Amino acid sequence: MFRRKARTFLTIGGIAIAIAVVIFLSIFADGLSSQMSTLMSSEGAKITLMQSGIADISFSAIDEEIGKAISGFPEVKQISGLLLQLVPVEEKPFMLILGINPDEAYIDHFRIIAGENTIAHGDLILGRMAADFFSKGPGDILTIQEHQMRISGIFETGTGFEDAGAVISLAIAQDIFMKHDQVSLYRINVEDIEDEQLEVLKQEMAEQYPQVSAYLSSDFGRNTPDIQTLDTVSSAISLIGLIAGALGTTNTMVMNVFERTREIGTFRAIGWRRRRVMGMVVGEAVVMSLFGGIVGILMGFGLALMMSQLPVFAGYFALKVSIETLISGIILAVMLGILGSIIPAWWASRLSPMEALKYE
Amino acid sequence: MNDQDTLVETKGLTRVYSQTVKALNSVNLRINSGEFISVMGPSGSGKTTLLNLIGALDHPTSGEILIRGEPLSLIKDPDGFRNKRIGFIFQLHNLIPTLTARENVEVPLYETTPSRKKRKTQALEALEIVRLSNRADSQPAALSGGERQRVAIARALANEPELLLADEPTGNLDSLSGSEIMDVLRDLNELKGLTIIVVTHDSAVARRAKRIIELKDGQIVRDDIVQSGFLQDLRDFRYSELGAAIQQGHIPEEVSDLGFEHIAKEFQSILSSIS
Repeated sequence: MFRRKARTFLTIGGIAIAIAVVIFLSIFADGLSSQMSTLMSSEGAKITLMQSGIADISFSAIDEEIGKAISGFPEVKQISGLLLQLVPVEEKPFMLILGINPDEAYIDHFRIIAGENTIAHGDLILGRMAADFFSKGPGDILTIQEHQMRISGIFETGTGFEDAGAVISLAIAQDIFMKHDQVSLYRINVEDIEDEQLEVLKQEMAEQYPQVSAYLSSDFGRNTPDIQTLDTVSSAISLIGLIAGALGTTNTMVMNVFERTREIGTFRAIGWRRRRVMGMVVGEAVVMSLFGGIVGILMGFGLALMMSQLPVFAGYFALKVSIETLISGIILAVMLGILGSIIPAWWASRLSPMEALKYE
Repeated sequence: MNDQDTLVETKGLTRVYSQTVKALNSVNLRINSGEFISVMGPSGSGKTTLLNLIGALDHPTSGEILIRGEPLSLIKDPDGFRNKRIGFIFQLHNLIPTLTARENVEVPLYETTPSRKKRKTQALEALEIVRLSNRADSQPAALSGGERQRVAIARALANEPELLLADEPTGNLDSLSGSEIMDVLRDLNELKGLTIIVVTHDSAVARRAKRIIELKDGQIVRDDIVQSGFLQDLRDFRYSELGAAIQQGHIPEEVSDLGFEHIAKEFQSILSSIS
């Protein structure tokens, strides 16, 4: 392993890149998921409704008639419709626009740090990060989908999705995005009930209105089709990365065994059993992949940190680091080492000591 | 010697490669505990094959090897047999370049001695036997050819085997280092009573042993106790490259050029006449 330093370092680099991709995508998906859940569960909302059978929240459209009907459930304390669109705004390639009813208490969730909190008469309130990006403040004009709107205030909630976006009146949002009498999501606050009752209520809503899917707001991020699609794509990309890493390890270990044929022949001749030879080869690969795993985890976090600092991603990239991510990175690295070395190790253990000793 | 002293016995030992090459042809041999034997013979005579078969590195095509009366073919764990009861020394030392001398000696101990401390102690003891404990922390690159081979001997001794098999142990060394290695082997035999079989094509090396077995075309053609004296020197010369050529009537150019052709011819008849 240390005799061919360049090759070992290149292999460690390959493993590190594979693990970094996995870690980065995991952080990215976890961040999105947690932000989405925070967005929907703020101000005590317990249930979120979304149109059923769609792949992306942006496509969700629920008739307001359903919202009115659901408000009649005795357990429902308050229901807020939300129109949500991710669109390019001026020089920002994508920005979250939230359309909410200005008369609902939900507007108070957006804590004003400059200007005033009004979204009536074509005004909007702009998130702090978006304001920094555009270098705009109260009184300035922001053009959304060719609609010029006055910024009445700047808000900060601490949730990246919101702070990097803008809040406009639901009616204007429905007009701009051509979703008349429709919302993307409903946030529902309920009376103080047990978790089991909440689960029953959620199921009742979904059964009575099959046009919608009902989620617990706290789990919404994890269960949205968007995040699940992202998870699937991430898993596929990660798998490709891991296969490439494992093949790199296999290549290195095959070369390693090939070059050490005589040495392995000596070990066998002096009485090393096959399993010890296998253990030696797999052990070296695991040590190498552990190094790669540690470097990869650092690289993955570094990349995520870098992305979260880029103005264009500000707010959309939450750096959520969990111990599970760290452990899974290490476990993946070890598995990669084992998988990548099992064939060369088996080959090494099957070498005839007599033949191997003749190897020049 | 009674049967209890017999360490190795071969009965009709035959090894055929590729159905045509008969490396060993019905070899019957008895080696007693405490013997120091040289196995000589030209290339392809079957010396290494015999060593590999006795060391359980290869299987005979027919015939049998008995170790202390137990058929080798019935030993269930040949790896363990090699590890605990046999010590191998190769022509090339085959040391691991990244390990120190002590760590190299520890290699066979991994199978028998889980304790790291005990392995270290045993390795140092083995290095002490070959008078190299002062170089325990040196890597092979920092050692001379003779020292490397002594480390290899220490490695072979680490598990205190009852039989040492050395395949051309001096083949890669200059004559002085080769002589030192043979001194070490001789000491091991005389002082520790270790049974040693050395394969060599060098008659001078072979004569350092106490018994010489000569193989030709896979068969034993000579099995002698080493004697000293002029007659023995002549015998040894007969088996050297020059001696073999003269005996067959091929006078090398160097000899003719020096004007010794007539002496060589006389030697041819002398060599043919000695038994």
